[in-house]
Amino acid sequence: MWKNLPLAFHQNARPAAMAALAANEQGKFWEFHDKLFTSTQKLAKEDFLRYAQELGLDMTRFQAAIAAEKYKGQVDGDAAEAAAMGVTGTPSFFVNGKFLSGAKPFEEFAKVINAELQRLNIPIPAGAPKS
Amino acid sequence: MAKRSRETDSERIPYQPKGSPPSRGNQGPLVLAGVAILLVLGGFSLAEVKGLRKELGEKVALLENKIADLQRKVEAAPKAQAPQRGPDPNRVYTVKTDGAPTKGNPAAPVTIAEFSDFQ
Repeated sequence: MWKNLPLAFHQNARPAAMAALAANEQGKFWEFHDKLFTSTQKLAKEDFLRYAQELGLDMTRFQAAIAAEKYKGQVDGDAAEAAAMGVTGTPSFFVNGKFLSGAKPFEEFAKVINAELQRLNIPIPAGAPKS
Repeated sequence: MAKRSRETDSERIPYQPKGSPPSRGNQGPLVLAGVAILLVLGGFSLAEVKGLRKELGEKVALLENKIADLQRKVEAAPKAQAPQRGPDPNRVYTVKTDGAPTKGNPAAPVTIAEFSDFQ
């Protein structure tokens, strides 16, 4: 699940977050997310429009959502929720509500996820990373 | 008796400066005068010394105020930083899911919420 926490010193992060939610509206959030992540230097409005076009989005709808700042409330709401929990940096993770800070190695996630499965008495799937 | 007193007088008069310890009453003004001369030689007037004392007093008071200020700030600091320490790792938080883009099986036993940004 993706939650938005555009950091104040990342000038384009907030419009990018809103654009990504406009893509989400058309079922292409993760595709749009990937485009933003592979080109973090290109986060101007015309870049968002180009990515939307490349993903075959309904451009009228996408542009209208951006022009109206349709997802401003959701982005700011996510950020406020993060602030209320004391989250100040990105990325920050909650695994079943348990806080995991920063870009941790995969093994760290596997450990926490397996611990959660164990706590819930769910067998860890065969072939799942054990560490 | 007269003879004796004269003797003692004549004995005492030459001895007084040698034998008796220097009395403060006699030397005090001398010392002050010396200091005053030194001060004058050093280019200080009494008014200047007084001004300097006053100035130093004010500076000390300022420093004391600043120290008291800093002490207050240091005492307040841990309280101010407490909410910035980040989420409690031993707590289970509820992250709102409504409207958030998701991936994977919605009924999965483990949900990961990622707070992130693009840039």
